[in-house]
Amino acid sequence: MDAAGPSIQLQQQENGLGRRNGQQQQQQQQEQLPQEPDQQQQQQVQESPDRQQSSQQHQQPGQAGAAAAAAARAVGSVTRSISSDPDYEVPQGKLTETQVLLAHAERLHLDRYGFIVSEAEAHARAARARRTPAQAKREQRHVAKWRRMLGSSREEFMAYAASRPKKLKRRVRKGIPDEFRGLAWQYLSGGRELMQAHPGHYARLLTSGSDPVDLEIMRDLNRTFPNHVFFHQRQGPGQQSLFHVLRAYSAHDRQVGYVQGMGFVTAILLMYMSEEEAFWTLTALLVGYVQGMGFVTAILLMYMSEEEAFWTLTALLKGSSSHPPLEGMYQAGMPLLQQFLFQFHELLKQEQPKLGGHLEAEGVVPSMYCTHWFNTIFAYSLPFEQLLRVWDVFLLEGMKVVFRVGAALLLSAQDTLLAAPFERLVEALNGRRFPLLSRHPDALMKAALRIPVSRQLELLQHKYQQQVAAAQAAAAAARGSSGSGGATPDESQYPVVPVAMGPSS
Amino acid sequence: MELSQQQTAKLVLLGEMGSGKSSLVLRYVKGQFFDYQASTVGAAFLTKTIPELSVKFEIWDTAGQERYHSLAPMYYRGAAAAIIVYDITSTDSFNRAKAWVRELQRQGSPNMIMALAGNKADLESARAVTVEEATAYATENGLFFMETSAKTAANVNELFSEIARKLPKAEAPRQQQPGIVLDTAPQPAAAKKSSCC
Repeated sequence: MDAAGPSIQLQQQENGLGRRNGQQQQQQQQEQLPQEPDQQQQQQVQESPDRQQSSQQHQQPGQAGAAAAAAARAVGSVTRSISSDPDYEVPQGKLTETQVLLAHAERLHLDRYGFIVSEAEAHARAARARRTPAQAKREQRHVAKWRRMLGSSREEFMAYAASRPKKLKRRVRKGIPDEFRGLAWQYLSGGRELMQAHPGHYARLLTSGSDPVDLEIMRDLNRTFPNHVFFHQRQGPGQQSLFHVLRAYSAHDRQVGYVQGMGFVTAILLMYMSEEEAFWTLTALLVGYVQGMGFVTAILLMYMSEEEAFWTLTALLKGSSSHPPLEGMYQAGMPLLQQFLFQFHELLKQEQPKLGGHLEAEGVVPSMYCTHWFNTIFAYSLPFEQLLRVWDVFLLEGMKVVFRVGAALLLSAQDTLLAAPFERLVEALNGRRFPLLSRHPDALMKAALRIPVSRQLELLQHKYQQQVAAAQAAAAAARGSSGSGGATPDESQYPVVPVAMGPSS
Repeated sequence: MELSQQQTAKLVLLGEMGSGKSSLVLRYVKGQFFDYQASTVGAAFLTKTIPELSVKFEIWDTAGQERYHSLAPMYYRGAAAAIIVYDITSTDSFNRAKAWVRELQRQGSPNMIMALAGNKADLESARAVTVEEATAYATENGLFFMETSAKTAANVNELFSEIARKLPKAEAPRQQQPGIVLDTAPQPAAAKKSSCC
């Protein structure tokens, strides 16, 4: 990796502080909160003289490594690495050291994910998270399986994933152990691969000149998870990291720049990984790198020549609808968001005619309640534990899980919704009190993953594209005949055809 | 009892990101204020009834960022009233408010009641838009104008109540003389510059 300018190094060090020190953070957390069995267990995990753990110390080259090492020195402890991947550092999960220090300094009470809560609520949440010995044992086995599956490098994990896709899917759906989440998300999204392929790029982006978009980003910084210890402090380390990643992304992808909603997504990533890692994971998600291309390529190359592999890959990517790039959600006119809203509306009508019909009869369309489901992959509205489970699946299986979870939420409230007129409907749908959300996250995942959507979404995408094409043609014809351009460029480019607001025809 | 007389009015808030749209609504509907109100992604929906005036507002609070502009027509279409919010400490936000006014004049429903709200009035020391400038603009465009503070609650209830009073009533329209109001215009967009007093 290239060395960045000294100022950037400094910033990075500051932000890297404590983002990767599992052990001490766990200890501090235990002072803070009542002992939880699963924390004990995690500590065991991190302390166990595992071949991978013990063999590697902080040997990361380049910037991230330097930052981590500096952070480790700063707090007088050792950074450990679980795998022998030289770039890989301990995924911290849960509370980082910085977060714990911040919390101590301000005498805050936190839940196990770092959200600021009242003392009573902290105890209540800790109690809820407590496991029976049997549960703890089961979790331990789950963690052990994941550790074996992650192997010692990305390549090893990808090879495993390729040879046992069903097993991987099953395990992801059960939830990625929190201590591996950051790494697994990077692997699954392809962000890790992008990062390794572009050393120094992130650091260069950070040095890019100021841009008007910076102001917009700044205006949202203290409005993004202000209830999380990492982000609640004005210009604190969390907000600085968030700023860096978002402005780096806006410099990296000018077409997208910064869009409200991206901040929530990035903030979640930053709870589990470093700035640079978060940047690349975001990039991977937005430009459609989900399920690493390189991994597919590698597999293909085992069986065919380079040229063959190239074309097969192209075919796969062009023909793949489960993991399209998501940047269209954020580009001018938000074409992909419009498509998602259309698909969700139609999906409800097809799959849940009673509920879908009622919503339609009352004039309630998805843009009235679920824009943020898509634009923030639920980061804006789901309780955190549920959110993590949804994201695990999202990173492996793509956007369709958002449709499934959305539909499951509506279904769980069906009885109430069916009896509600327009106003109460929209209020209920905008609220965060769906019955499923007060239950264990497993219940949500189970309900959501039961709902089949793949085939329908494909058909609906096709239908949507046809309608857009027809509307564009009509608009072009109208412009040609009247010569007046009433619509804004955005609207004419991406006509909002099918799902309009208000009682639809 | 309520259904027979109560009037339901769709109201939309538009304006630059961070100008305080959500804070205004939250202050008005729930009497709450947060220093760091989460950015609005998409839109939020709240309702509030004013029993004295038999009006129920269905309030659409929109995302302020330019990129979300393409979604805005869905929210202001068919609205009886719009509050265009700017931040008195930011001339950019005032310019953005003007752009919203132009768009509503062009594309909103002709009878829409438009209010201009200069929010964050508690930040007097950082003021960048003068009352005179905003008043002049509002008069010129037939807008009802008020400076508000979601933080201190100043003029927040007044703003919404005044809009409620201006709503055209099906029966017995009662035109009240505004007390605090700096400018009024019952028919904004279509008939420009019609001052009633």
